[in-house]
Amino acid sequence: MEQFFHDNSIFIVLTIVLMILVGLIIYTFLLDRKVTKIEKLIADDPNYNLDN
Amino acid sequence: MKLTIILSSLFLAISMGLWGGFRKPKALWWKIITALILIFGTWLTLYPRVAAELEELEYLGKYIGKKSIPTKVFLTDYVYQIDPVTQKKYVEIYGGSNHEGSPHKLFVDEHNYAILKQSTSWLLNIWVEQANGNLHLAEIVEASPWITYPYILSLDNRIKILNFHVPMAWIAVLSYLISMIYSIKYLRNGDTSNDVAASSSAALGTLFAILATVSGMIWAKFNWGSYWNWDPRETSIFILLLIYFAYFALRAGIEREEFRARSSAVYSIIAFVTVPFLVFVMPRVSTGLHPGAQGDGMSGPILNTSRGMLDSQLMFAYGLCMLGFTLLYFWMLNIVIRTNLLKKRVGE
Repeated sequence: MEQFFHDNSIFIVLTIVLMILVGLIIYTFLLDRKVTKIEKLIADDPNYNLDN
Repeated sequence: MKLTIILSSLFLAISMGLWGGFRKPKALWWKIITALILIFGTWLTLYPRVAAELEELEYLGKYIGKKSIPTKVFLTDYVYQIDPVTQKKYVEIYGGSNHEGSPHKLFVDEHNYAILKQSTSWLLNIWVEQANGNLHLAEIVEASPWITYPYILSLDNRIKILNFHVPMAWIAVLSYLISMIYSIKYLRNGDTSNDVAASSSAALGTLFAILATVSGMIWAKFNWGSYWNWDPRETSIFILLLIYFAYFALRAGIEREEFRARSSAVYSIIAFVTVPFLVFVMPRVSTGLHPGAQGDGMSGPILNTSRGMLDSQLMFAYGLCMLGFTLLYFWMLNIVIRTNLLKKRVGE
């Protein structure tokens, strides 16, 4: 196992960094979609109660 | 070439980032391009290995000692002979793909020679014998490496932090600049949405300044021996962070909205005056450990034009990371401004 980590260290680092980056990008996508949805709700009905 | 890559990535990043403005959602294609650039830039930074040129080995060997150095070599006719002096077997290697110059002797055993015969281009860990400059094979790393980055003495693979650390610091400066521009706009027209944009950009700027500091601290631990050394660059970023922490303290301390917006706009303009001095001037005129400091003998890896410092391949990956992270910042800024405007609207 130790030999595996030694031989493939660059791929392990690359995999972890890419996983974090993809997670961050997906989270930003979802957040953007959520904000757009709320903006639409408020634009359609200015008295819309977000607590509903 | 280097300057062209840097300037075009900056120009492309700013023009693409400003495309569509800050108050409307970014188009789907824009987001997909940003994601792809970020992923490709990160992959292109981390995947390739660093490798020295064969001609540099003699010079590098003096400093490295018994440690092996990753080196890019080429073999042609696989000459495998016995050295008359040492009675050890060696293979002839060349430094360039077109086999310029005289061949070097690389001492290898028969098992490794059989492996080396399978390709003409290799990335090998080579150990230089201090006494006579003989080259010995320590480890076979990769056959026909697709792309390699320059080996810089004392940096090794740690050079790769450049593609993450420098864009973070650059984004911090850019966001403080955008914060100042929106502060001026607020003082001119009194539109509170400009105040929202200014504070959102300052918040993101502080986030990226913290990321630049943390990434620099991790690098400093492995390069300088400790996380924090009170180097002029570290001191200046610390002062910069304090200045912008005070900006948020000021905003939190004033309840009346108009007064808060006006005072923080004035503060943001004054605070930005210190940014060029603290980021670009002070660390370069003072003696320090950070690359580019006074007495370092060079202007830092980004501005230095000497051969072997940063080659065009690493510069291309750097340009991609710069572009990708700047676009990510503009995307984040767009979301933060829209969220804060929504919050304000709901609050009313």
